[in-house]
Amino acid sequence: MTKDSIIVTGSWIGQETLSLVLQGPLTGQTAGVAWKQAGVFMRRKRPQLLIIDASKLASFDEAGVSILADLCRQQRAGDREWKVEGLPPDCQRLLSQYDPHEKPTPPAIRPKFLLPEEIGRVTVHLWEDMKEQIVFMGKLTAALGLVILHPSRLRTKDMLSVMETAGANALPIIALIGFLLGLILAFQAAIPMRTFGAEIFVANLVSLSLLRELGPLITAIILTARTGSAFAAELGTMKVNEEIDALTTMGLDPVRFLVVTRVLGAVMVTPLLTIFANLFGLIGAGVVMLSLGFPLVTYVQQVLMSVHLGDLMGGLFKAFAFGIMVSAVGCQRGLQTQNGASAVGASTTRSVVSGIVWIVIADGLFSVLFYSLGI
Amino acid sequence: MDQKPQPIVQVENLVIGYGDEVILKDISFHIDEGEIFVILGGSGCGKTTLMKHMIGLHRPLSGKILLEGEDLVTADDKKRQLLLNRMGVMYQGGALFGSMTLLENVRLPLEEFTTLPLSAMNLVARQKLKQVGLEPYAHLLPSELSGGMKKRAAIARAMALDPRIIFLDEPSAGLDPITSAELDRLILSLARPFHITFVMVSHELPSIFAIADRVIMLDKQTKTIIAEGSPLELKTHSQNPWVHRFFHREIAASNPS
Repeated sequence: MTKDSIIVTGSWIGQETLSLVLQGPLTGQTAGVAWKQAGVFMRRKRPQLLIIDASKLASFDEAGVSILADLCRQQRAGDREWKVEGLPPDCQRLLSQYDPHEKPTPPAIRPKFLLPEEIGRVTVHLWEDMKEQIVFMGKLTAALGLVILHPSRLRTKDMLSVMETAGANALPIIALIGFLLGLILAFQAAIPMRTFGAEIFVANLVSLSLLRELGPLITAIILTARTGSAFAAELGTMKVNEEIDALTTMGLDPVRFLVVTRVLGAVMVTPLLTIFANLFGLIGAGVVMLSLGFPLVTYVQQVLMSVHLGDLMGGLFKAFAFGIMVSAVGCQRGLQTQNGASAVGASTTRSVVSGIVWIVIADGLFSVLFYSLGI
Repeated sequence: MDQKPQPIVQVENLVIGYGDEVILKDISFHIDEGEIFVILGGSGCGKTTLMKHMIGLHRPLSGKILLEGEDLVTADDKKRQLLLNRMGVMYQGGALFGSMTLLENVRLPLEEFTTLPLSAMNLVARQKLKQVGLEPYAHLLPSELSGGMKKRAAIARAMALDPRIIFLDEPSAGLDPITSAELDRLILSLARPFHITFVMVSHELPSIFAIADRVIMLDKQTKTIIAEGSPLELKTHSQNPWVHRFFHREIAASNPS
């Protein structure tokens, strides 16, 4: 036995009495070993009388003494006797804090999972959330209207700061993703096109896909991940720190003061970012076309022939709409934050999930709309 | 002849809570103009919740809270804004806007609700910071300040529009005794000469005895007011055993420890 380990020796006295001798330190570190060793002697049968000899304990702490308390409580629960002998006075004082008559707390009963109940709960939650989003959009529209009527009430400095963080600072990632997207798309398209000797039409495919669909979509998704989540975290932290309450008690509407600046800032930069995503996507595709042996002028000519201004403008309109949705939903999730640091994390997650869901829904609607209008 | 002070706040038969859960009921009291009034009680008895109702952040389940005779909940937008401009609030953590310097924080209400030119707004904001002893730190962000400084800055912001009443949520919480005493002295130096009414939520006895004119004591068990008067009256004359224990810092006889 080392000086840091405990040994529990047990001996049965007759059929009904078990004597356990504890030797060494009884602390939080050794208590688990002591518990296991004591259990070995009681595995076959519980004694009617348990005698614990603690006279050879080298040291003890509260966690270690809890083992003794638990052994006594188990004896008590089975209407059996126990006796602790040779306990140092300080150890006795610690042990007396535990009530041997106390019954163990029953484990919390988890409500039974019922599928119809769960479906109902989720449906009600979604319905309530939908109503809140509609109310929020109404408040945002009113606040935007107020700012349009009284432009001096717009906090221009805050809006410019948002434009810088959501727009200028997002340019490198937009450029990188746009470039890679164009590159990958062109490579993937070139393989089947080569079968038909129609590699030149890769330019048509990539340019149309980027300008009409992928440019706005990828920009909106990056905006959700980067800016929508940042809005949710920022406003959520302000909520937790009572800064939103402070605004309200000053008589300042948080939607006008915080949300309008963020939404306007983000909306203004989204189409610009989309233009850059398109441009870098086309550059990426251009690199592939050059590697396939087409001169640059041929590729540019092919792109100019295949896309029209309407394609670009349609995409930018979509980007504008995505910008409103992503920034508004990010701000709304932030303002909905409950108490605590984990609530800020939850709001951030919800803002990204909601943002992506809204983008997908809106994109589907735009596709139907553009098809119907022949755009 | 001394004029009787007018109540600036009147609370009548108030019941507050969230959803179906009642936190406080049958709450009626008034606060006179120029008073330093303290809402007192043990942890979790609803002191801060009561204050949040008084400043209009939550709707009561029933009853009325009148600020200068007007109900914040039912007042129209114009009147509500007027009432809000006549009151200032200091939240427990200060609730200063993290992206703004101290000067910008204090200047914000002036920017939004006055037509002063920027130079005059800066002058007023600096004067408010001077009153709380933070003028040299005007250019700092809230994250660069200590807890006590944040609270003083929050008081400066609350005073920006020269309110008639200032609400303070646990101003001494988390402060060392010296900083806490400095804050008490600051409140007294603002309350008396400027005749500002202070409504404080607190359970810091030294602070209460140092500055409070009158206190009400809330009880978690009965969910109502169990004592009202000056701190000294409550300490020496209250027959309520809980009030007695609170003021004499005694633990309950049945407490095993």
